[in-house]
Amino acid sequence: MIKCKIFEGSCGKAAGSEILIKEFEKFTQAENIEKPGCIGMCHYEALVEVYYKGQYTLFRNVTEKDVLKIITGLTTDRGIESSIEIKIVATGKDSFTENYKNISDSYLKQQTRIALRNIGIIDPMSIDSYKAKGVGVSGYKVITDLLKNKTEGNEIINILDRSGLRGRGGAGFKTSLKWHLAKENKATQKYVIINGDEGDPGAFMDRSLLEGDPHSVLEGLMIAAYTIGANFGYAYIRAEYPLAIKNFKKAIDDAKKAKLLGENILGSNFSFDIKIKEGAGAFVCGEETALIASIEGERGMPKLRPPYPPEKGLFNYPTVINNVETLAQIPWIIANIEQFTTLGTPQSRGTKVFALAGNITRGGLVEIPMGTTIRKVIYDIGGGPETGYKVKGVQLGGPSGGCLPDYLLDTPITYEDIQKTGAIIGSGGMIVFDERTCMVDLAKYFLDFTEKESCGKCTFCRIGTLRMKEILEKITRGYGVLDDITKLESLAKSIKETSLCGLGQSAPNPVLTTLEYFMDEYLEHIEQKVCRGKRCKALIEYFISPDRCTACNLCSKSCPANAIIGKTKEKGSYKVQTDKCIKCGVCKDVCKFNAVDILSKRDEKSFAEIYGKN
Amino acid sequence: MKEKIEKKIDINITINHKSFSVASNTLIIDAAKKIDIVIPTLCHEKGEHYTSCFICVVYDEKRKKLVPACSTKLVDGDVITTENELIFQRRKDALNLLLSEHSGDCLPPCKDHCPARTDVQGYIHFMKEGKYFEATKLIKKKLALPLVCGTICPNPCEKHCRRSVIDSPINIRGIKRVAATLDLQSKENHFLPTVRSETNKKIAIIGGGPAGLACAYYSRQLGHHVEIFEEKELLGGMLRYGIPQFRLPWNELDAEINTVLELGVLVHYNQKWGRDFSLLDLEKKFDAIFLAIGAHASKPLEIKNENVDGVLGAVKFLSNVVEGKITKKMYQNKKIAVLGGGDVAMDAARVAKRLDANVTVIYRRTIEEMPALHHEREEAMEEGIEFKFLSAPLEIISKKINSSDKERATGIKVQKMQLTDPDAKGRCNVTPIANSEEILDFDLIIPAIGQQPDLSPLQNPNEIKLEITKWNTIKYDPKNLHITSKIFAGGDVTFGPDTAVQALAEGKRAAEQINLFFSSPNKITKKLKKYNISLGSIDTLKNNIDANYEFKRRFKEEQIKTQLRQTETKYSVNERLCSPNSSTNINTNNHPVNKMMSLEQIKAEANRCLNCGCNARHDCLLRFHASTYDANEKIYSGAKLIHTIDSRDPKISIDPNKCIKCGKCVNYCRNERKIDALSFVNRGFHTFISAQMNQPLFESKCDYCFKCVELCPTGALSTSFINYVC
Repeated sequence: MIKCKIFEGSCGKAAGSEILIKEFEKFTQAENIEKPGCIGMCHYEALVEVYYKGQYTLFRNVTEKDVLKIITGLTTDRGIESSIEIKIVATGKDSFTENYKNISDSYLKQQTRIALRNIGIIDPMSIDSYKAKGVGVSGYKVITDLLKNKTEGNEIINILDRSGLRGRGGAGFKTSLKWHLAKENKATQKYVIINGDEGDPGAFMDRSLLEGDPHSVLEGLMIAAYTIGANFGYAYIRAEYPLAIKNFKKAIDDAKKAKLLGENILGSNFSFDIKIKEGAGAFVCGEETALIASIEGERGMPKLRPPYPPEKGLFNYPTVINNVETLAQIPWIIANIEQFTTLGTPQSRGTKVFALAGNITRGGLVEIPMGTTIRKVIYDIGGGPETGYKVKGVQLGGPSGGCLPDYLLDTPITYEDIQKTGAIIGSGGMIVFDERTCMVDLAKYFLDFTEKESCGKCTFCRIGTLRMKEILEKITRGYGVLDDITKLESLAKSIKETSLCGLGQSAPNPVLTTLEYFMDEYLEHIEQKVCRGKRCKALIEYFISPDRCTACNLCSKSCPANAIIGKTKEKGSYKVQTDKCIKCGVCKDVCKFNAVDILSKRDEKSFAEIYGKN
Repeated sequence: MKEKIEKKIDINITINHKSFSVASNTLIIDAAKKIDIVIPTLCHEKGEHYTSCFICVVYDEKRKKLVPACSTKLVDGDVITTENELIFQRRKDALNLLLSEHSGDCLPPCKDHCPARTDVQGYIHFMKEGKYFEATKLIKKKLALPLVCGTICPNPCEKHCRRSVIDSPINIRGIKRVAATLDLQSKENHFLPTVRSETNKKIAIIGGGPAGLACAYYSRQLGHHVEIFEEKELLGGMLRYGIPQFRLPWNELDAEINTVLELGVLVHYNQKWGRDFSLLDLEKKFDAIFLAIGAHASKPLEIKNENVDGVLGAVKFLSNVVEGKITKKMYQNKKIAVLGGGDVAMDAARVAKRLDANVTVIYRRTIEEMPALHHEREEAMEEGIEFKFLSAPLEIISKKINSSDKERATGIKVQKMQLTDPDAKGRCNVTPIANSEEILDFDLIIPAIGQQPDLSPLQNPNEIKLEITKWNTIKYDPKNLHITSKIFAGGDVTFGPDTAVQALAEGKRAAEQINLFFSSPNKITKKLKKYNISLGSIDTLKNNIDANYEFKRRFKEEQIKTQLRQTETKYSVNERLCSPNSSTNINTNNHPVNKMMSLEQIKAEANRCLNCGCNARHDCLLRFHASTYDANEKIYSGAKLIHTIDSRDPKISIDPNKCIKCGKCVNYCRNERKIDALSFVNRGFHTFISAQMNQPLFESKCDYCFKCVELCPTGALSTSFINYVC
């Protein structure tokens, strides 16, 4: 009998998992197909684990056509075709996803998964699966024990205090302190909120958790509510995560059916209910005061803190807001506190999930103990840069974070060490870039994001970020002057010092860190009008090397602007008409002979050399 | 319970090194107020704080960071600094950024370019409703003789009228003329300013021209005793002796001068400085002297024979006609030449024409370069005056008459000129054409190439010594019009021949400065330079496609539809030249050139006004703080969002272009009134205020409490009915 596991997170679906399920259903019963969430190996999607006759085989990048070949390869004597063979990640007697330490692939092997412990293992749509298969601790065991033993809230806070857990959403505020403040408050009504308004471009750990392991998040929230004495909670999940909302809703419904939610849960005094509130897509609503305003039905704009939400939050009642990842870790931490304290550094305990992306061989979700160096994550887990390129630096913390150069790659990932460099851990975005990246362009990209996501309340954030973006735009177009750098610095300082919320306070970080570590690139743009990464369209030109060009005509046919002319099969006759060229780069992408070069527009010497040859 | 107890406890705090105690949870801004420190803010109002503008930042010495004073609550032991360089810089930066997205005109360009700074937009608004009394009252706050200006002003305001971006400028002068005329026609009901109680300070004004009259008008209102010393038989100076009656009828001029005299001004006629009195004499009797003798001497031509008989300076010629020294009989069918192409040349030529003479204007450049006003030039041509362009006078031809020694001019030798190619500035010069001299016969030659003050009394050794500039004007301090001890000067005598409005403006300033001089003789007060934002020059708005588009986008479609400019009705040439009362006591034909506009025309014309000037400019907090912190919209200049001004509601107009997103109006409407008539739309830089759901305000629940208009720190929300203070 064939059993299979098709990883069906949003990313899996995007890679075609729904079609694969239909294909596999032709060969086996529907109940034999497990559909866990995304295990985080994005570079391998769509990933399929097939069980046949005591043997597990893990296939990567499976397409619709591969299914039949996999089935015939496994079930017949003909053996697996070579085209499929290269797609085998591993074979063995155990399920790899459940026991990933056994996989030779170092991507999963080198991780320590606490938040992500259940993803890819349990069936997110089944509460029983969570209860039975929960890694490290069975599902809902922790909350059941707490209720049964009538554990004091202070005890739980003490455990958390020992764990040293800090909020994983970005700011790194100590979770125990937050709960303590709310617990001490004698208000009649209290609230707990899941912050699932994950907005950093490139970060998707919260989505993965809500999709692949909603119950552990829900359990974490119940523990929080029990501890501080709240009996109502909100799950603020952004509306762009429909699958996360669907799965979380199912989790709530199942929990209600299992009497884990509602009045007097499991016979105790503790009653708790929860409601999902869909966020409308404003990045700033991930900021807790703006999130509260959004739930209250106000315009999503932050307020000055203090008062902090644990003192005066939702509807002016004490409120604890925790990030999805923090909440997902909590049941495990309470069950395995001793083990947790061995992980990480004294100031930054435990593990953190990163979304590894950019110019890297293996990207996806990575959970590592704090204190691991950036280099280890990039090279050992991520497999280093793509062949032929060198790592130039890494961007940490999304649009609020900073860009670090290659010589800082040995920085250990802890809250303090990263902060010293000018970047932040943030929600855990980690984008690796190589020489093909222009740092000014990168800073502009992130600033463009924060500028568009500014709520418009504070003067500096609303107008200042736009003015900074305009200056960067000017520099990348080759019109920059040295005074622009002074203006950028002064604006960046002003915005950082005088904004209400984290968005404004951290918005200039990408510019400040690139100015600090990559000033020479800014100066090149301004003084020589040269873009080192060959990204700034105004400063580059495309050129077809007559030596390498085989006159295949492909570039000419692909050019959307009809800017390439030449005679078919006449070598060296193809040229890019610079006045028509829109610098989209299609010619370079399609050329099979690597004959298209990007030259600096102002680099007259190289131009003269090349044009001289013609 | 705990909270309640806490609120009662006083906490000790330090602000700017001053320690004192306040109730706990007091906001920094309120605590500072207790020790008379005012922290600037644009977004804070009593009650719920919003925290958006960030110009209230102060330094928290304990936390070592800047905090917003409007929403940070003090705790025990806080140490706050409200002023230092960092704070100043941050506040300035905040204002720089706010200004960079703020757009509009603080001052209407018409007012900005009026030498007297008349509130044009204001009186046009009144005239739209036919309120000529209020209009005149408003004009007279700045301009002593509105009818004079309404009749002869060359209206520099109209050149900058924003309406000309759409079609053509508002006929500002014409509107003023009607307002002033109607006010004077109402006889005893005309506007009379209040005169303050007597101060027993005496001011002597030398010269009863526009500058002197204006100074008298405003000095009297301040309660000072005023005496005018006039050289001639009648008051008015250039207005009477330089400007022909067909342009400025005497009955109108007299009526207007009367509005000055009726305030109680003593006039000494036929009193000439240097002949009948000296400055020294006056200094003994008066507390201040205002020297405003104008510029009545013609500039010399500096050619051969120019001092012979038959050559008469334009100003002299004009005043001689007024005084009856030149009559119709003398020059009927004779040939008169006027040299020059300015306004005085046109006046002289047209007066000469009304003496029934054959008049030729000789000008060294072409019609294009003539400095005279276009309509004057055209009217002169219509009246049959000949023009000889590109001709430069070389010498006066003269011969002895009646065997006496005296020579009399018989003609003029002129040289043909040609235009050179335009220079770098695009201006054409002229060069003489060799061997092109010709002699033209004339009975009278009137040079009209400029005037200068007659400062001969200063040569008297017993007179006070006053410095003279190289332009032969009196040297004074243009800031306070002061020369020395008690003497002030203004008008043409200081800046050379200029417009009447310029002289009127300077007369008013003299009154203010003399008043200041009385209260504090040694102190020159320095006024804070007020910040003004502008949409740009009229040329930019007309010629730059983007600027033009953005300008027009501000207005509703019906506002930017072409509407015909209303003009005064010109009388025909025959009517103008054949005056029925030519044989009376007046020496020439004085039929007026045109008839003022009708009330219907005024209404149509006033409706064309775009109301560019901001209604809130007098109490605009943004403008105030920008002036204080010397902020500027150009430092972080960049994209501005342009919205159409929402004037659909008859009572409240919303101009999102001026909004600084302080949130006061929205929060008040929502939290205090629970109405939600106003709301923010969009996010980030694209945020703007609008009536809810972008419906007209009258369709919302707005009950017109007008609190939003009152709260608005800028002119983003304003009442559509403009409350002009007059």
